[in-house]
Amino acid sequence: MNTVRVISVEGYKAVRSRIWLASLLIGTMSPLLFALAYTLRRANLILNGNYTWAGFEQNSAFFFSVFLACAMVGGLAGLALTDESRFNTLKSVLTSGITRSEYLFGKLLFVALWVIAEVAVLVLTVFIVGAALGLNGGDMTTYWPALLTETVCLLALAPIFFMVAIRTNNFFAVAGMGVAFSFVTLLLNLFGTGRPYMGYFPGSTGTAYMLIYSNQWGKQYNDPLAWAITLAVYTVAAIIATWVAMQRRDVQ
Amino acid sequence: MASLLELKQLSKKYGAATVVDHLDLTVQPGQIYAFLGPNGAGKTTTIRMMLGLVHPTGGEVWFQGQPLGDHPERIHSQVGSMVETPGFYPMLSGAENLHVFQRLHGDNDPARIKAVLDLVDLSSAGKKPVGAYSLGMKQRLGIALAMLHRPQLLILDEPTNGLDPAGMSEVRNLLLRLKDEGFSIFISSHLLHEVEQVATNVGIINNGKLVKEGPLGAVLNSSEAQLELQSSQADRLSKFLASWLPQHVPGGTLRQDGNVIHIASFSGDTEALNRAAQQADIPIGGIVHRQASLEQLFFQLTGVGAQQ
Repeated sequence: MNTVRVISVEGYKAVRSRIWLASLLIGTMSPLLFALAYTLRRANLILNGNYTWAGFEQNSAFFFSVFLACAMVGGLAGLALTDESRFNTLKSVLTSGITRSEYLFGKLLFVALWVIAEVAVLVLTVFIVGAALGLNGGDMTTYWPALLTETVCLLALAPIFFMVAIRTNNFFAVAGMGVAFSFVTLLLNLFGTGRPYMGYFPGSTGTAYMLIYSNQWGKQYNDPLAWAITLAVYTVAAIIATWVAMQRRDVQ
Repeated sequence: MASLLELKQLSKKYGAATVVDHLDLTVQPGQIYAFLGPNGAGKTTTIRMMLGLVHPTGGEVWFQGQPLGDHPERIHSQVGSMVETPGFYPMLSGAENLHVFQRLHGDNDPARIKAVLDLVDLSSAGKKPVGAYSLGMKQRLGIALAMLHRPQLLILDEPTNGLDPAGMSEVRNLLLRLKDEGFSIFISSHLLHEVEQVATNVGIINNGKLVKEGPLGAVLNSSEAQLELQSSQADRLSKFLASWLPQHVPGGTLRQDGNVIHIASFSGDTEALNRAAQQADIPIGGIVHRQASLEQLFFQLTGVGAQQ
């Protein structure tokens, strides 16, 4: 119950804060960018048969995955945890009947909900902009699994960023790590597109692109169990490390 | 009746340094307990341990006859606190900040927010972002936050920090009003004169150890009295006393302030002193016995006055 209170308070602060509202708009950036590109190259794309829903959606998701998503989750996790220290509010939060575990999991769940909302904004923007562009056709079979995978990967990354945030108590360290993950993901997508176990990749959001690139959901990933276990280990290990650090911390 | 708050052998070490050393302390319902000590004595660390913000390395905190153990959050529904400078979300208004913490307490009562803002005289500024508040306004908002959920016990760490004299007086009156309303208050402060006017009980901590504790009156009565002598020949009297005192009042110390000579720790015979001065042909215009103030007692016990 108290965890729900933490989530609701985070939501309240998010609505009142321009930074948090602005972060939700990141989901719109990618489709808007490609809307511009599709408008400028419309004739050429039609000529080559690429003026399609599938192409537009895959490009938008790819750009979001590789360039924005990791950095965004790092920034969100950093804001969620380090702001309490920056504003000196942690002691007031932890003396309001909330346990440290409730505080931590409330924040984590809030970031998870925010990530899901971000992906939803991406999808919604894609459909609105795609409809406005008058797109049609294309193979959509990999789109939804790719988005699902992307979302799961981002959710798995969140505790890792939390762990760094609680250890360093430095927003820029966490946000910087997010940018670094994005960069690594970009490199992996440039040089490692044939590799099967994307869960091992630090910036695992490259998975989305892999699915799109291969266009064969379930075939390139001939061992999805290994992939899932890897992500689960990342997540659980990070959650335990974060929880232990939070419990042992002396709040000054 | 069980004590409201009890610290039993509470200790905190950081590496080799002992910040709080086997502290025993008791707060009863209805008391205004002044927790005094020089900078670095361990006051804030003690308060943080009471609230579960800092983990003790030894000892226990008990609340209403129950040990808190690993569940300090059990105390939070009945304790309101302000530890050092209070922190708030600067982008939110004062009222919104209170709303955030009220929600964390599982409450949603705008009338209560208005009431506590009224109580600390922040009603007119309640809608301004806290980022635009002065330090004094933040202190008052911190006190409002501490009272928000109608706690039984208020723990206030230096609540008059950053306040001007008028603000200090307001806080003093507020504390008395809160006591009348049934709050018990545990307050740490450097402002001994302010505290002396409101406290019912006192605990003095030095180097992590409690050196004195008890009802204010009893603590002051236990302190050493001071004698003040007024003389038109204060210099002569001072020289005379410098030789007379060690023989008749061991431990008494002299200080001259113009025409007035102060003898601290005076436990001798005032009449004998007067007769001796007259025999030495030194006139004494007045003799006043003074009970040590809280400030003087604090200096005696902590040695801070000697350093300053």
